[in-house]
Amino acid sequence: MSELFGMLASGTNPGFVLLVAGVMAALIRPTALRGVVLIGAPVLALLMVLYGPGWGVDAARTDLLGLQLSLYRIDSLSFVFGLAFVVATGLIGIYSLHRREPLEDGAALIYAGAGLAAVFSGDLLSFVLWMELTTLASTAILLSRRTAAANRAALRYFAMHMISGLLLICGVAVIAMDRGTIEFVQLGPMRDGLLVGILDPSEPGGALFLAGLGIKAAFPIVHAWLKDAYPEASETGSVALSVFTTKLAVYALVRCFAGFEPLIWVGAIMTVFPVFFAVVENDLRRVLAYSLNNQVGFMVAAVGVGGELGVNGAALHAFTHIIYKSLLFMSMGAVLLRTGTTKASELGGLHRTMPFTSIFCLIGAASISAFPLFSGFVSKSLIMTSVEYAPGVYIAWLGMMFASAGVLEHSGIKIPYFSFFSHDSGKRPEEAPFNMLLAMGAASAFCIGIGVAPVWLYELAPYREAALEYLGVDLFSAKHVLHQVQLLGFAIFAFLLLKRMHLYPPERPGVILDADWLCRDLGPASWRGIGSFWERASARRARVSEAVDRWRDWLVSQCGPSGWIARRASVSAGAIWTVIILGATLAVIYGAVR
Amino acid sequence: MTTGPGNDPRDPQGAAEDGENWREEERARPEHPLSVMLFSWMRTETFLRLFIVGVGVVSLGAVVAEWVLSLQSGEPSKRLIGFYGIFGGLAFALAVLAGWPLGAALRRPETHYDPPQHDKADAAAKGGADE
Repeated sequence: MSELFGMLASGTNPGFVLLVAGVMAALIRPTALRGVVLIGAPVLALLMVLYGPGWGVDAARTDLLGLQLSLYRIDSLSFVFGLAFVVATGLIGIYSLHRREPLEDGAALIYAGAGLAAVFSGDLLSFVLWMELTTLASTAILLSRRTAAANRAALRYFAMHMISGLLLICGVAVIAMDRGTIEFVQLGPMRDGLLVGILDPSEPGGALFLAGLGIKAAFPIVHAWLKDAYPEASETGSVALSVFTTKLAVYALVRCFAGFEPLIWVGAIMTVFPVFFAVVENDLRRVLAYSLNNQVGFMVAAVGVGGELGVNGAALHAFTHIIYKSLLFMSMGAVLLRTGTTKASELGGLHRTMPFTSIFCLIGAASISAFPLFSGFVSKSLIMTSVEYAPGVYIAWLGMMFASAGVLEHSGIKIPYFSFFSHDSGKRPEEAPFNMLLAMGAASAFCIGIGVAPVWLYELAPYREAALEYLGVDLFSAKHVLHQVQLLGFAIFAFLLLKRMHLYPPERPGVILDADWLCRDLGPASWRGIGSFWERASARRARVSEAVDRWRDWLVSQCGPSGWIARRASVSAGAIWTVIILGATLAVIYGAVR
Repeated sequence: MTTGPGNDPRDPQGAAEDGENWREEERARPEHPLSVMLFSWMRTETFLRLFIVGVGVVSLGAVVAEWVLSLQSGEPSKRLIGFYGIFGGLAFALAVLAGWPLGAALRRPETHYDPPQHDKADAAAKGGADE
């Protein structure tokens, strides 16, 4: 039995297990049996990840269109992402046990399976194909909510990701033509023993691939799909959506573009601008979507720094972020389930009857705000340190510091405060179902466990020795801890003062315009404008045409064979009149043209 | 296990009918014992004042500790005692206060992106014709 499992684990991409389980979950009707699949499949996948083939071994290969594909290859970078995906899949499985939605459960497992398979791919084409399967599965998750708003958001989401997929596949094609291979091992040399930064963004193929990943990672301007789609999913769907797509993009950015300096600035901008949108947003799940965008910005900046510290920072922050962001989406999902809304203007005081959910939400908030002894502090410190010591990017570092205070505002304070505390909305909903509490409790345990004893997380780092050295020297140094306490302490103090002075903007219902305004407002308005201009132009042309016709008819009636000139004048007078009219016409035309 | 009204998009009618009962049941629900134990004492004005003082003391304590331990280094701005605290407080205030003009400039009614009424009528007419 153990030999059979060993053979299975060493030659099969663990993503396949989740894919098969996803199909089963979609077909199985009995809830209890589906529950077994939802939890059993991630457990099996976890064992396969832990007892898989050795790092750097191509465990499954095939060829397609003359290209060698590596279907299963683990290294220290893919391992940390894969482990985070499997853990999150298990948590989502537990969290969704109360539901009776086989299609959504199946889509979520297929989404997770495709994500896992992509992370453990050893070539660009396999990665892109699996990533496109995540697009299909995540669109199915959105559609499974079956509301008009979710359907419209799903179509917009699908369109954006199809554009991204097209750019990625074109990039792969150009790279295959230019370099003759798409395998990671052959594309780039190892950097300190790890295959990272293997593509050159100045080459056409690399640029196309980076553009495709930019959409998936929600770079500025192309970020609106994230805040548009994620809050429209169901309470479990949004948890699943928060885990995979953007983190897969981060993984690919590390793999392909680590050390590409402009990404530091892109990441810094990504950390800053969502802060302002999150402050005025009323829908708390949309606030979390902005917060996700902001956190991915930290990872993108770390990718731009590259090196051991930057790569470790991006990978470990992705791990902790997956857990605490899931936790925050879970807590808002519980609120949505019990109250039917996540609008801050309609919530408040829920801690009275949902104390466990409140506590878990506070733990998630403390983690994302990077309070010492919580998981965010452990991973974000690596990123901030890497950017702080990178040359020539001091302004970017200041921007990320600003964003750190902003994170405290929108995710650390706004989310728990306006939903569970603040003014009493009078709502007294029942506490979340036990399975939801269990999933949130497990995620909270991860957040605190990593924060208190980060050594096990640091041992998972792509560059293990460098991470452990940072842990021993820098992470809990007095300087580092005191600086973070100052930043958070004064920010909380500012919140309390602003609140007491009634300077904190009240939560008001409404839609906040973002970059999607370009395609949802300006685009249709421009189209309508062009249409109405064309209509007016057509009507005017018709009027001109009618006038010309009338003039021609009159001319024929006067000057034709039966006209008065022909009937009354002699041939010589007719010739003279013809010359006069022709001359007058020429004179008029000459004047008009001149 | 109860869910919130209107939370099941596949059964909006049922949710609406259950809504009133749900609200009645909700109003009668007592505060959770854990909430009483953990949070009830936080609702007083005294606690709030103490909390503000506590946060202030911890924040200033961190600045004093930084000065005592001489931990300033790096760029000239970062050598300023309490740089991280001042920056954090100002950044937070800027982010929050920016919410006033941004809200006025960017907030639209919740129906802003809803399809125009004539589209809905067209869809309904088309649906009727299909039936």
